[in-house]
Order: sequence, then structure tokens, then C-alpha cells
Amino acid sequence: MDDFFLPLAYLNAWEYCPRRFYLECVCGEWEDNEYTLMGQHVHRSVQVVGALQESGKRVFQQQWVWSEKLKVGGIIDRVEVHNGQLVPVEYKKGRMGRYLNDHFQLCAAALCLEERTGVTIPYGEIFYHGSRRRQQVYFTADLRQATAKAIASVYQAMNGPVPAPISHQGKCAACSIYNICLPREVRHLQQERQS
Amino acid sequence: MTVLYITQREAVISKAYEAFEITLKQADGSWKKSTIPVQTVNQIVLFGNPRLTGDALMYALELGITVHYLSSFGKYLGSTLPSCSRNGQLRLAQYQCYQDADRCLHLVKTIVAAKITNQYTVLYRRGYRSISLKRYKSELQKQTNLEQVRGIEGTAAREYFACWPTLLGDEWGFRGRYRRPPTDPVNALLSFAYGLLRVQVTAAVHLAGLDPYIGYLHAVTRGQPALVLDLMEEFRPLVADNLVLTVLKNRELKRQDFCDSLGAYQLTEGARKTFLEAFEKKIQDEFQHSVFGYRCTYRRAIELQARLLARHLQEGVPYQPLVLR
Repeated sequence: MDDFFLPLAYLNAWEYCPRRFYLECVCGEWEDNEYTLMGQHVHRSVQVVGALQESGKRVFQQQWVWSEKLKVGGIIDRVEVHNGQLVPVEYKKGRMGRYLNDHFQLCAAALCLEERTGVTIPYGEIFYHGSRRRQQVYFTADLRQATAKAIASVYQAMNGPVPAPISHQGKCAACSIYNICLPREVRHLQQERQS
Repeated sequence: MTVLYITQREAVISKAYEAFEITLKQADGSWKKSTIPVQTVNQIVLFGNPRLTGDALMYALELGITVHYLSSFGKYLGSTLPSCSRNGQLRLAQYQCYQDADRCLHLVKTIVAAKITNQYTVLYRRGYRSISLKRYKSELQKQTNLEQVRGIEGTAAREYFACWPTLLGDEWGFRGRYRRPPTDPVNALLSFAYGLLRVQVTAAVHLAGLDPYIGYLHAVTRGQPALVLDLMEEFRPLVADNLVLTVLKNRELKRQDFCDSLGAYQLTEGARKTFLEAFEKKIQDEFQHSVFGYRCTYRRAIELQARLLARHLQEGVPYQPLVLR
């Protein structure tokens, strides 16, 4: 694990479901479904790599960011410069405020940017394709702490066993690796052993 | 989702937009084209060597469709697999289980017990009650090593097939299971059915990311796909045997559908087609799952068992083979 940097996207997966994270990140399992394909689709508009000028605003797209301190890294969809301030922007397919996973991912990207540039970043934005709205996310002390804590627990989990399935019908129904994870079947067989 | 079977060696499968275009030679020597939407196919099984264009193959792999190659006699030659599971830890867990004699023994007993139960059910549903098969199940639990378990499996199988002449009647001349080569029509049909089942289980094993060559009941020797053969056991009676008995009982195939070549039997071209259709129908058959309660097809059940075996190996989730009541 010496030169391993936890991909920012996996931080998102971890917050969604630890078991999904483990199967994806540690076991290398992957399957597409309509949601993952839609996710790729909404990123089409930010696929141009590099710095560009957009109506007087300087914009970096598909920017590599990383943090030596936190051992995370990845690609942030957009970094915009607003009045001399860096604003990380993530593109998401869904609607606002569903789960906190998007916030952790964005905050981790900001922490990476801060470490690289030495400049404090007060907030970032998430563009939700589902509602066509941008949500501002303030990097409060609480969010920063929670993000760092999440990263630490991910590293711990990676060296542990496969996490048990979660009980969340909505998440499971939307999950592309449901058929690999088999939450319902695994729970059933384990309960049968106990009884 | 369906399996596309191509049995004509002259056939050409190419890609036309988002469909497979299949060109078949007609009896009068002309060619006939038909198309099938790619999205409705999840496997392609080729008999003999029909041509599959590069375009069609690439598109198939891109969409996760496995292509299986069988000889014109139905012998499994190999598959072209889409990139699937990359779960290295699962393979390590599979090897670790192999090294653990106690775990192996437990798993193998579970598999053999399920096979015997399913064999019993096949006979029972046809009005034949074999008490001795049930006896082997309890005897199984007392065994302390792999060889003994394999012995019981063999003895039970001989007794099971010994009941078949009564079920089939005298006309078929079936006297027991002979594989190399099949010495009568029923054995030829069984071999063909097991070959088709093996294709399905192989696909499921690959999909789940398991190593097909490391198994527990079957010895890791002579290059046999031991794990595929292990996973097949519970399904042999349920899918293949049941189907063979039904097809023969319903007279969908007759004696003249088999040809004898110096004592070795095989199916004629037309009979193969009839049986492929019957097999496809069987594997799409929906039934109520005895453990999870939901309705599912045999095809789904096969994949499910491969994935549950993966969960057993990697997480210690108890493995329960499919048993029909």
C-alpha cells in the first residue's frame, strides 16, 4: 500500500455502502447499470481536459489532485476561479442532498487542492444533473473532520474482511453490483446458520 | 435474455448496426439472412465452425456476451470471454479452501448430499421410490475423507441409473451410464445434455470470478475443470436428467434420431436441434427457489449458485446447493 492513493470516487462509494466499496475497490468487481451509465453520460460536458476560459472565468477541467497527507487522490471534474478563489465543482447525476457521499468526495478534493496550492478553499459546488442546479457546499470544520475520518476508516476497512451487507432497500435497488453482493441471499443464509 | 445456438457449419454471424445478422444456407443452396437484436442475447453457442466476424465478436465482448465453441458432436472446445470479475482475493480464498481438508470435506459432502437428494426427487416424481438412495445420504455424513465421499457418490449414481431402465422401458436398451463413448441412444443424449449444462456452468464460474480448474469434489488432475464439474453436480439431475427423461417419455425423440457408428451412438442433426430447443426451454423454466422463495429460471439459479459459492469461499457464508422439493 506504499504508493497507494485512495481514489476520491471510492470515498463516495464507501459512504454509499462499505460492502460496495470493498467489492469494488479491494476485489475489483464492477458492473454497469442504468445509473452508472447515466453517471458517465452527465460527465460528457466536462470531458475536455485542461485549462480554458469561459465567459471571463478561468476553468480547469478533469484536474488531477492529490494529498500526500491524507493519501487520497483523483480527478476533479472542474475547478473554477471565482474572484481569485478556487472553487471545486463535481458533476452528479442525481438530485441534491440525497446522501452525504458527494459532500465527502468534494471536500476531499478541496483538501487536496489546499495542500497543493497552500490557499484555503471555503466552499465548492455540486452540479446535480437531475435538478439542473448547483449546490454550494461549505467546507466547515465539521465536514473537514468527517472527511478525514472517513478516509482513515476506509484505509482500516481495506485491510479487514468483506463488510456485511447493509439494510437499505433504496440503495440496494439502485446498486449496479447487487447481483455480485447478493445482500438478501447472504443475510438469509447467515441467519439460517444462526438459528 | 437468450442463448443464440448456431448449429450449421456454413453459417455466418456478422454485425449489422445493433443486431447480429445470421446467414444460413438453405436446402436449395441459396442463402437466407435473418437478424436478432444483440441486446436480447447473453450467450452464443457455436457448433462445428460457423464463421463469426471480428465486428460481431468485438461487439459481443463489449456487451458482455460469452461465445462458446463446441465441436459438431457437442464436445466443449472453449469460450471467448468478455472481461469479467477481477477478484484476485476470491481466487486466493478458493485455493485456501482447497488446502483445508476439513472445509473441503464439509463442502463436498454438502454437494454430494444435494446431488443424491435431487436424484431421489427425479425418481420420486416419476413414481419410483428408491430407499437405498436415501440411505446413502445418511451414510455420507459418517465419512471422514474425500475418497470415501467420492465412492458413495459413485455407488449412489450407479443405483440411480439402475432405476432408469424401469422408467424408460426396454425399447431404449439402456443398461447404465457409459460415457466414453455412449453405447446407446440414452447415453448419447445424456452426454449431450451434460455438455450443454457444462457450457452454462462454465459461463457462470467465469462470471463469478472463480478458477474453473481448482475444485473440491473432483480431483485437480488431467486438466479437468474441477470446479465446473463440482457445481454441475446439483444441476445434473434437475436440468439434464429430468429433461432427457421427459423428452424420451414424450417421444419428442425416437430411436431413428440416433445413429450408431461402430457401436458409438450420437444424435442426428435434426435431433440435436430438437433437443437444443427443449434444453433452452428447460433452462428458461421458472420455478420457486427452495431457499430464497422467489421465482427464478434455471439459468439464473446456475449463476446464483456460482456467486453463492464465491460468497462462501470469500466470506464463509454457508453454501447451500439447489435442492428441489
